[in-house]
Amino acid sequence: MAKEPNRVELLQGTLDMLILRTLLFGPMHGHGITKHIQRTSDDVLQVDHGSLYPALHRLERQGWIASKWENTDRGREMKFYRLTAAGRKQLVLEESKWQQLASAIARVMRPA
Amino acid sequence: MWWRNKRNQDLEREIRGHLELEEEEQRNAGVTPDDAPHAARRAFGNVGLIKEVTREMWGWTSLERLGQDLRYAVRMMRKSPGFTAVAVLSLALGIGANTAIFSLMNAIMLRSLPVQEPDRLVLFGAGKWGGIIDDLPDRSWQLFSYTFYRHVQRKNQVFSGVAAMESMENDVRAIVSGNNQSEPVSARLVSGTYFSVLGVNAVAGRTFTDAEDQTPGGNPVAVMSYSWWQRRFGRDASVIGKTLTIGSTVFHIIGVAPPDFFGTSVGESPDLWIPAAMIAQVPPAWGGENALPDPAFQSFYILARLNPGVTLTQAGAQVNVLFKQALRERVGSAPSQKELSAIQHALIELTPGGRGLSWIRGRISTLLEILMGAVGLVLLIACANIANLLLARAASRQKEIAVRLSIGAGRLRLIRQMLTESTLLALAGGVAGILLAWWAVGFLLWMVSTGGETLPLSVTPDALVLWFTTLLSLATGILFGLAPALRATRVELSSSLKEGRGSLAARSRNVLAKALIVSQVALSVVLLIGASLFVRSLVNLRNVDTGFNKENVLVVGVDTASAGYKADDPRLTAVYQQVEQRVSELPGVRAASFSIFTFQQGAWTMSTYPQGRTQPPENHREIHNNSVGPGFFAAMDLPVVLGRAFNSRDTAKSPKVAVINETMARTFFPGESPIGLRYGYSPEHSGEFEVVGVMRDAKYESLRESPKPMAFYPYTQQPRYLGDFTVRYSGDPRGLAQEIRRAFAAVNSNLPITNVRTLAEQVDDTLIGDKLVARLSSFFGLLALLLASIGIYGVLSYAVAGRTGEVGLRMALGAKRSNVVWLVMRDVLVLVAGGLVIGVPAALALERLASGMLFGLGNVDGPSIAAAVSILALVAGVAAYLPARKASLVDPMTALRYE
Repeated sequence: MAKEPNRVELLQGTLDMLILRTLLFGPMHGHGITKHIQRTSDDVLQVDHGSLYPALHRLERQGWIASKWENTDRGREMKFYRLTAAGRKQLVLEESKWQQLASAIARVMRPA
Repeated sequence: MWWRNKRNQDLEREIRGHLELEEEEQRNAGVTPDDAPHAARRAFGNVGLIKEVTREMWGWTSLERLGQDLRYAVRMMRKSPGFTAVAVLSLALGIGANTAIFSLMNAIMLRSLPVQEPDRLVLFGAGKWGGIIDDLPDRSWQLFSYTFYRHVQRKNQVFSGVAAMESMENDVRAIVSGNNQSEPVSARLVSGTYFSVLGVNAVAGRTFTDAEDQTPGGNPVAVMSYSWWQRRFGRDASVIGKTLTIGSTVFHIIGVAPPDFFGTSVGESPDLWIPAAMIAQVPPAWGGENALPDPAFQSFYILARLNPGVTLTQAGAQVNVLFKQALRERVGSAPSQKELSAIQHALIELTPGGRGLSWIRGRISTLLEILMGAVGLVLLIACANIANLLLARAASRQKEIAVRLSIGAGRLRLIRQMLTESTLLALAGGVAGILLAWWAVGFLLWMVSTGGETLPLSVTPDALVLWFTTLLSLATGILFGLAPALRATRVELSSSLKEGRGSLAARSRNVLAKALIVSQVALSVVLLIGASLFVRSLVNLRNVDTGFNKENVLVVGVDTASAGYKADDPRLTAVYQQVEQRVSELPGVRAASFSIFTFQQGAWTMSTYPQGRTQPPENHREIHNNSVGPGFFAAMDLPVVLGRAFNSRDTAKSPKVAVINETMARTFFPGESPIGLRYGYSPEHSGEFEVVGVMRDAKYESLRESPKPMAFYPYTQQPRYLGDFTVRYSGDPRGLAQEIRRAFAAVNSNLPITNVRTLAEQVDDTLIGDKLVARLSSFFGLLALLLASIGIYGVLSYAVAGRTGEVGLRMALGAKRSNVVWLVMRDVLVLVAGGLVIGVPAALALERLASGMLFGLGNVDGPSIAAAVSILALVAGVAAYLPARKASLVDPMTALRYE
């Protein structure tokens, strides 16, 4: 499979944050989460399924998200994930860590 | 495992849903319906791998693997029931024996008393003395007066409570209200604080208090033990409030102690506890009315409860200050130099009291340690055996293991699986072992008990014992499982798969198997040498010349203190004489006599000073004494070597006489005839006794003792409560006991006979520990021998099966049967020799540790070693010969054709 040049690999550890952020809008299934991340990043971020499902199951075990089988609008039964209260706190934490990291990298790349 | 399946189905569904959605989108994007599923899969990635990685996230896989391993292990065990049965049985024997001995050790040496916070209890001194001692303390002291107990109770700031217990049990006769027959009861005199200091509460009624221990003779109350309540009254609660008549005093039963409380002396269980203030009312009324106020009546143990935060050292410092204070008061205002020096050396060493006092601890602990060592060795041999069986089995599973390794099983994973198998075997053995131990402990207790009564010990397995067995089983499983597991998984893949039997692996398996055989032989020979040493030591003890003739003698235990006379009442002396007279006239009776002691019943020792002869100071100590009737020497068959025995002319009014033994004569009057010479109990009264006879040396307290100086006195001149009545008879003793009872009753109806035994039994009972260790070590030695021979047989059979081709070839080339047998046996005999070379020196080193239990054997006991080595060589030879013979019976043609 040819790699599309305008897509970048996700940074290690950022997938969890993106999943939690995506679920902030409401419950969603795995497929939807992938599509949402791709769409909102204008197809720049590509989610590897080999990381997504382990990440979902890991987050669920940590109690940050919960799952439930529900029907989609079109009547297909899918496993929906939703954010828990602990997950919300975790999201705030990861986001602030991300901010720190991003600004630190920015300072290194463009010293004032 | 349903939850595992459910999760898997869930994941399956989740991913299927994802793929279906993706397909739909691909179709919407214009991909043909035929290509859509493939496109979706491509976009998704490797489904199997993703599932696998996701499953890892669930995080319960190690538990699950354990589940798999267990199921696999159970399957393997069921597949070879013979192996499983042999392994579990030998483990059950090994672990069971260990658990049984450990339970006894736990009950006797380790366990705390069932009281509140036993860690805070301290005992004054080691609690090893017993009796009454009136000397001024001049060294580390263990028995104390009641006044000192009160002194400590009043003055100390380190204890929250202090209690005292009489060191001797009072074996009395009691009449329960409503009965007219008296029955034997054991009572323990304790201070009123006893139950409160221990924190032991009555299960029915109440315990007594310090207030009931203030007035001498004032509070005739008693607390019953649970076991007596159960045995005698069937746990009838209405017994509380009833009365018991002991001596001439009526006691009220006020309560029952808890079922697990046997008192503070491990191995004894009084039926009653009575306040110490009643000491003069409970026969034999030790010390009489004056016992409690007399600071020289030192007969009590003292047990105290430390205040929180106080250390043993701090408490010890204060106790010793109080002790010296009390001793200074005792000697008065003008103490002699000797008294001052004694007090200076007087000392109380506080010891932890939470485990209680125990005379059996001293008697049995060495024995239990030896047995613990022996059963440990047996378990090691069993381990070696099972390891060998597992090795052989691993060899037959080699192909399976090679296949599993080559399709990607991790070596660690396989090792873990095999260890799971061995641990499961060991746990099964452990469970069976606990059941076995339960039964064995009762048997052991019965074996160490004397006089037909089982030691009152609670040996039901407690948490500590269960922990011990569980850990032991786990350790055992790993011990015998690890080496075979490591060996089995070290496989040369290509050659194993090709040949089916890896030559290299087979060789290294052989090295391990041989090492196991060598260690089995070494361990077995240690056990066998130990067993022969103990057996020979027992034989030596049996053949010891006691100095008296133990055959044809009945020893009648009599509670003369219950007759209602003081010890020195002339009427009691008259009773003795009348009984002796009557019994001597019975047909078949040759001699009969009262005495304080016969054999191994304690001692009465006095410092002794010969008249007109200077003595080295060590001679003044510890001369043993006995008070006897005129017929005593005839009854015991003790020959008089010089002078005369006692006769009826030695009365209370005639000059005081003594018969001494040869050792005493030699020590005090060396090189001269002692007849007519004199000695006494103090330098001032050294003319008190005239020696009228010399008696042959004999054993008095133990068969192991070296000759002791001993003096006998006629009871007319040294009146005491005489507890033994010795009767020498000829002919048939049946009916004699009955005749004797009748004679007693005819003289005095208040003379209870406590037991009747033969002197031979009495002597034999002192060998109980020796008999036990000889029997059990022989049993364990034979068990070890059996296991080792099974090991040799098994390994050799396997080796022979592998060498069929070689044997066939040799025979085809003209080798004789005997050559083949020798060829096969040679290997094993080398291993046996190797085991002996290691085992014999090890056994000799261990013999030194057990020397306290051995009697009459040199440092290196040739016959024991010879016996052990030849038994082992013989059995090993037979175990090796059987497979060797089988090999030699191979038909060369058949063998070669198979190859």
